[in-house]
Amino acid sequence: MFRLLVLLPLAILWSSSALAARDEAPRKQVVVASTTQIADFARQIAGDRLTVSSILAPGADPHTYQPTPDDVQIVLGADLCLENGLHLEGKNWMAALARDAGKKLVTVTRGLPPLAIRSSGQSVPDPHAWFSLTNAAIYVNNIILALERLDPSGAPGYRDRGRLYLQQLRVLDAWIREQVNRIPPERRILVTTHDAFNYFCREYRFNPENDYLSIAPVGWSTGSEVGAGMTPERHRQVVDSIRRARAQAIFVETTINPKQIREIARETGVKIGGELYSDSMGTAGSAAETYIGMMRENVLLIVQALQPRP
Amino acid sequence: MRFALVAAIWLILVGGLSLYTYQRERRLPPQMEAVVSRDAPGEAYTLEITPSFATAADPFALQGDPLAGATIVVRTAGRVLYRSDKPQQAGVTVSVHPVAGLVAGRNEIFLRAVPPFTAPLDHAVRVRLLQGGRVLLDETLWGEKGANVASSIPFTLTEAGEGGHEQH
Repeated sequence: MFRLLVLLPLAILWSSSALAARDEAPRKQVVVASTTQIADFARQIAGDRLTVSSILAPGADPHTYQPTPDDVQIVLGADLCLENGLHLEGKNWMAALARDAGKKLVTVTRGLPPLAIRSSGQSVPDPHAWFSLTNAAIYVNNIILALERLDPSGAPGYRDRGRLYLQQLRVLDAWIREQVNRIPPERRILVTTHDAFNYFCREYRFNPENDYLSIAPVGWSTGSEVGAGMTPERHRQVVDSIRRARAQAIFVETTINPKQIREIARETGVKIGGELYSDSMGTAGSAAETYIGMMRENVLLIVQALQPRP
Repeated sequence: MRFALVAAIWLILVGGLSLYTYQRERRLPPQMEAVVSRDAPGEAYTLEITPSFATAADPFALQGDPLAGATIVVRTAGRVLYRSDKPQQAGVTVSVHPVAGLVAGRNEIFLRAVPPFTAPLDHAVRVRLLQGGRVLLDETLWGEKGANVASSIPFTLTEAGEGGHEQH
């Protein structure tokens, strides 16, 4: 009896404080993005107010990805889905997941001017638009708008975080221009595994002989879409470009089998400059686990490989 | 006997909790009383802004922000003193007169100017606050290449309207 009288009030105090804590922490709304880059943008804007996750794991290829039953469950638990669009998600798998689950889907490339790639007599919009920082700003603005609509009471925080993040992107762009300036224009030849770097080449003046577009043995997608994949003609064009432009190095990508680039390196005698992050960011804990980190590490690698030796 | 013991324990628990709450509230910093500032007459002052660069629209601006289109914006205490949505020429001084919103006491002017985002050089904006022909404040704000010039200048105005720049 004595123990009960002492312990009971303590138990009541503990349980009431636990209940109060539960009342203060309502369920966070869930945002599910298709790619790691979009998830990072959303996280930078949402802070801890929302739960943000990505369907693709770091290193996964969005062009050839096949959704799993786990992905279906993740999207079923979402309040908002975000996709890149422009057919980055092969066979529009993110749109299909959101549609089947009856969830709202926002295409974050909406309103940006896509680069058109001419391939097999057809024009295809290049989906790798995040490689231009001004396009990344459009992604961020679209995500801010989507989060404001999802959670109007959190809008001031989303806008304030967004404003800061946009200025970080602006500073990153200036830093990239300064870094790239170390490479003399005639050495600015960027050869990668697939056509992911068109926006990057156009923005930072790489590959003048190719109209400032990517040089790669694999087309804009590693999947089976129009203008995608590798053809003997593309392989020959890349080898010719490397020899003609005297490329200093060529680069593999983290999401794609490096076999083709290694073959080209052997054939042309050009060194491999390293591994670039293209369709996916780095793993958690790596220097490229954020968009800004991914761009920074890519640029450092490119500049290191292509700048003249002192 | 047992009842008295339980009552004593209850008393210690409740008393201890009350004492703890009381002590905690005492340790909180005292609430500041609002300081009433008297407006300084805006007609007495002129603000001069001279960017070293041609200003431009910001492609990294937050869309929907009321100031998204501004190439130069000057604020004090949340009040917009001046904004321009047009590109301004490098080296050309913009004069703002009167300067509304200044108070006798502590003031702070915030300025943001947008250079072209591909600007290859560091850049600056000169800000001067004048009272008649007398310079009260003369500050140069710097921005690294590509970044906006965005900074605040704290200063005080006396009751007589004279100014002094507060060192950071």
